[in-house]
Amino acid sequence: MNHDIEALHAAIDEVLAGHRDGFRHIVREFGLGVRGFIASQLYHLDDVDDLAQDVFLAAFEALGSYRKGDDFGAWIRGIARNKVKMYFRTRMRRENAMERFRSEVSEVVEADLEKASLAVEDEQLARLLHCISKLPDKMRRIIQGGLEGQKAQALAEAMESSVAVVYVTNHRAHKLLRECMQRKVA
Amino acid sequence: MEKDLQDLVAAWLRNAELQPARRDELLNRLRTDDAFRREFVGEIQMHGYVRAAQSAEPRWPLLEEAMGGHEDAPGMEDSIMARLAQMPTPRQQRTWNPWWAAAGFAALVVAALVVVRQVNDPATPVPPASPALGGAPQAPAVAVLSHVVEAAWADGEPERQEGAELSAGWVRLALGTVQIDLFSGARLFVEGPAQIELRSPTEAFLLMGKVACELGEQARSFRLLTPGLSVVNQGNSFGVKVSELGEQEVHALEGKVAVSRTGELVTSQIAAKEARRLDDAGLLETPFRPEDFPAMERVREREQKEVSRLLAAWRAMADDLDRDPTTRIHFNFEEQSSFDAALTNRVRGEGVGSDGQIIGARWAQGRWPGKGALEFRGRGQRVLARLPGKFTSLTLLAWVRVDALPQPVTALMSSEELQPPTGQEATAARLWQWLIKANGQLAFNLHREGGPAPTQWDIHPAPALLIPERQGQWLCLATVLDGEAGVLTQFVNGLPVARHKVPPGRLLSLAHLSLGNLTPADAEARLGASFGFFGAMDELLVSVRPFGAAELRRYYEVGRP
Repeated sequence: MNHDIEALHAAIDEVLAGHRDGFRHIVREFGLGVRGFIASQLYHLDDVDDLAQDVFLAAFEALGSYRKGDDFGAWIRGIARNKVKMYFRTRMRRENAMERFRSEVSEVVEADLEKASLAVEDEQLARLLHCISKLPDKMRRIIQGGLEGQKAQALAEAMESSVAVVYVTNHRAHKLLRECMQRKVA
Repeated sequence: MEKDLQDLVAAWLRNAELQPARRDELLNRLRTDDAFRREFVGEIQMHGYVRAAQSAEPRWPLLEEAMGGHEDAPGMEDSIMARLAQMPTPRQQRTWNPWWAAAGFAALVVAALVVVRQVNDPATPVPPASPALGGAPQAPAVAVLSHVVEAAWADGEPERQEGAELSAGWVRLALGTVQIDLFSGARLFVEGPAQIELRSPTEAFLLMGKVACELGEQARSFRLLTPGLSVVNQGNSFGVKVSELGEQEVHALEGKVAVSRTGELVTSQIAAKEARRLDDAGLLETPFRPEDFPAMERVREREQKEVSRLLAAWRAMADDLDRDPTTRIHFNFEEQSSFDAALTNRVRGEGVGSDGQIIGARWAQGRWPGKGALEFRGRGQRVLARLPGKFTSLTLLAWVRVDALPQPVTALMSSEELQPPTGQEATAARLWQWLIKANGQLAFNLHREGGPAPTQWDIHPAPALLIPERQGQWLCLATVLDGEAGVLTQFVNGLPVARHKVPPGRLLSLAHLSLGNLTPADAEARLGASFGFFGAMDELLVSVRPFGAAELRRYYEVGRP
């Protein structure tokens, strides 16, 4: 991530001095990144938002331990990673096979996901919505529809296509979005 | 898009279970095929960003805007800010007072709500749910909190004191170091910030923070778990740390340690004075740094320094109280010989010279090593004092260690008359009694105006907070009677716990004071009643002005051991 370091440090100093309103800047700057990071691993969006909120509250509490000069995005993702682990840990106790599977996959991809997150500039993220709006209609419809649960099936029927095509189109849309985000930054 | 990737992404997005064989196949490919794993990560990462960007309230309008829509709206940011308003301000460095003050303020808010209820319903005081006052363990204890050094508990945690029993459950430490002695014999030195879950006498889970474990022969079965590791005792001592970012290290401080990754049966041995860190590739060597972990010697050293610092801070504040012109009695139990039969009143103004006469009670150690106290053992023992004058307001504050409440009523302090007052004399200056009931209620009794002496009292109880679990701990008890406002407030450990309305402007008698006991009425004496205090007292203050809640809270913070 490539946030305005000076503004970030000023916000941190402000919070540590007791002006907690400065934390708004941090939530605004890193909200999407943190939520995206969590949303890539969790299925339920409500849980994503709850966990993201917990991450920011934990970050607020631990803000004094953040060392200036370190990558704040990586620091807060570290907190998020622990929260996600805890989330899976508590869910696994319920003997949910799918949660165990998600937990295992998350563990396997953890390092790669962090590397991929480091590679995404904040300007790129800021461009994401614009890039979605520029997608071809069919792709935008799929991206905006989301593919959670039975939505892929519903979209395939609505578009008079197959589920496989929907997933492939979604995959291509992701590639186009990544290219669009990088192109705009360049 | 190849079939494996499509199946894995589909299962991931639909949250649908796969056949076990297919599931294992895909997991195996994910583990072994780097390109496949990166491709999958790219998919779920972009999917996560897209979901996040499009789902939340603040972002939908931005999308609308990008496509020609509307303005932003409040959402997660405001929700977080609203919750932050209830949290203490984070601090850059390890300091102790601000955290305590912040935690105290939060507890005070809780207590204040209780007080409001008390005023509305003074006859039925409700025990506060304040964690600052601690409470009985909810489950059988698995450990004892043996030492607390420069510690501040995390927000929402009870303010545990040294000697407290710990049940199975989470211990969250914001700052400082604590020593937890598990009943299995395992001894844990935990350095904050830390979050550790005590699961049983033989097992603990460290989510975050640093722990040094000292394990004797009797603690052989103990194991410490982390989010990625299981460290098993081999009769030695080891240190484990889990950073907030999830980095984990194990250091074999003395002797070897057995470690395994969570979910794996293979166990690795770490030789003495070596360390390993958890990595994707397994347990890798890392520099051995015993100084990173709290050790008993260093904890004791810091503890001694802290005691000196706390004692000095308390002495400074006690000295201020001595100079306060409204202070009439201040027994600080300092600088006295164990053979002294008089208790020196330290006040500098009115009241100087009105020392207490010790009857039976014995000198003992107070809140800190080097600080004196008087130990009372019930029947007959007491301290007598005289204080001329009648006053409308009063603050009584005592640091006490209640060892037992063996009888229905235990006297902390009371005003007495050598001859029972009657008629006009009784209404001119009211007698009072400061008591603890057997159920743990602190109570302040005011002699009823015009009532036949000596049996008619208006009783003002606090909730039953001095429960058996708090016996043996030093407690700061205070009662404040604001004669002008007509309000009587009880405090335990700096927090208001009960409030009562009393008739304003009435005079109180302080002429003959009895500390730690009460002379029973004739009828009570015939029944063998005893009111003697079982415990110790190492500070007593009587002031003729009503102390404020913040003042008492501050005095508790500085004076707590």
